[in-house]
Amino acid sequence: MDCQQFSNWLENRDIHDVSEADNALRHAQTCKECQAKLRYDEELDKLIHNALAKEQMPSSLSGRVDLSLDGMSAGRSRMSYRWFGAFSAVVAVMLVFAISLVFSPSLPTINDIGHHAIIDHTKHDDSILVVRDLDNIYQLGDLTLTREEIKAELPQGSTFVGARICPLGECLAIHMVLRQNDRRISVYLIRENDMDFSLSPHGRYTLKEGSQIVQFWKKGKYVFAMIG
Amino acid sequence: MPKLRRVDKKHFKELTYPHLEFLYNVALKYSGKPYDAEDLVQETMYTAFRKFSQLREESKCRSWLFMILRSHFLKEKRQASKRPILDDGDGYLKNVNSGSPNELVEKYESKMSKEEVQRVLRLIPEKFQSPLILYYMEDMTYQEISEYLDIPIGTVMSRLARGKKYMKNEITRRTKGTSVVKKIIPITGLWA
Ligand SMILES: [Zn+2]
Ligand SMILES: [Zn+2]
Repeated sequence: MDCQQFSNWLENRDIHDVSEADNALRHAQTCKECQAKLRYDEELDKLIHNALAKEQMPSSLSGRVDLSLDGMSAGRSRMSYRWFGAFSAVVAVMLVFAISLVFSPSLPTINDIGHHAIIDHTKHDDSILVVRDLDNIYQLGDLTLTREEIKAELPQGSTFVGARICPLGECLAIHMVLRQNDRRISVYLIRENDMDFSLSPHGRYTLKEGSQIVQFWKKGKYVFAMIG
Repeated sequence: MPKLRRVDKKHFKELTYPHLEFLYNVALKYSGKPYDAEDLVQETMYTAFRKFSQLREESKCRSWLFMILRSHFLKEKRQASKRPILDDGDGYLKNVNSGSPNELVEKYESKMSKEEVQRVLRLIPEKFQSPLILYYMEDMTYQEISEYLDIPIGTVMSRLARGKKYMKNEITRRTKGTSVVKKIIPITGLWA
């Protein structure tokens, strides 16, 4: 085997017969240049291998999949699970897939919630909303607010499009989609206990990320977050 | 009836969720963006649940899910621009001499980030991309790749060879900052 044949073999190892490898490696042992090429090729291979290595998936992914599967059968039958039930299901899955989460039980901050709410609001598929009427919002969770109390918190003149449970990072929220003229508005309802911050009952807080603004306020044991 | 469906879903989850991380990582290599990758996995799982009855052998679950993910990815990609050619360049070994290959490699590692290498991967048509992902990320054998993609082993080998050559060329080119003389080879016709 000469140097040209060696290069040809090296660049096309996958399609050459294994038996040629012996020949090629023998040549590389006696030829400095080809040895350098072999080493260079192996290093490139290692570089690609390392760059394409698996990464840890986001801990919220299995929860997201759960929700889309649960939302799916709910379209056919009545919504049967409760907020807490859904939460424990997500936790069970997280136990399997994201052990790190179990060891770092830190609650999300207002920034985390805002960040995830913006992503959810912009990427949300409204075709898988589970509840289409505000009266049925109690199918999503054991809410202690009355329908009127919730209604009073929603922007005036907006219409209720639907709601479902969405994961905001590591905590679950009831996501209500509203429409006001051409505006699509998201209001998230999160239990205050699920977050690492407390709001004063009368204040409104805003958080800005890029061009998006999230407003936070509190009602009873719940925090509302609004975008849009 | 509802009870039966719930049992099905439980079984579905037990069978499929252990593969979520694999699916997410394949999706991430395809799309390059974590959020798009999550969307792709979510769509895949949604379709998989609807078609769960079509899974004949439970041991084939992983490759079955992979195929669903891949077809979702291709459907999305078809709407974007097509890339009908793969430029193999002139060979990445051309300028390697006996000097100091280690020095070269060090240079590459500092210049070529993981993201950059992944970007190079995304420039390649899917039929080369998928074997490369399964080969480098999953350390699959030719045989396994051939089963996952449902193509003959010979085709796996030639696609891997061309895909690797393209990547190594492109990495070499980008690191050196010199442009190699381009030789455009139409993909169809060369390797059936
Ligand atoms: Zn030689
Ligand atoms: Zn949502």
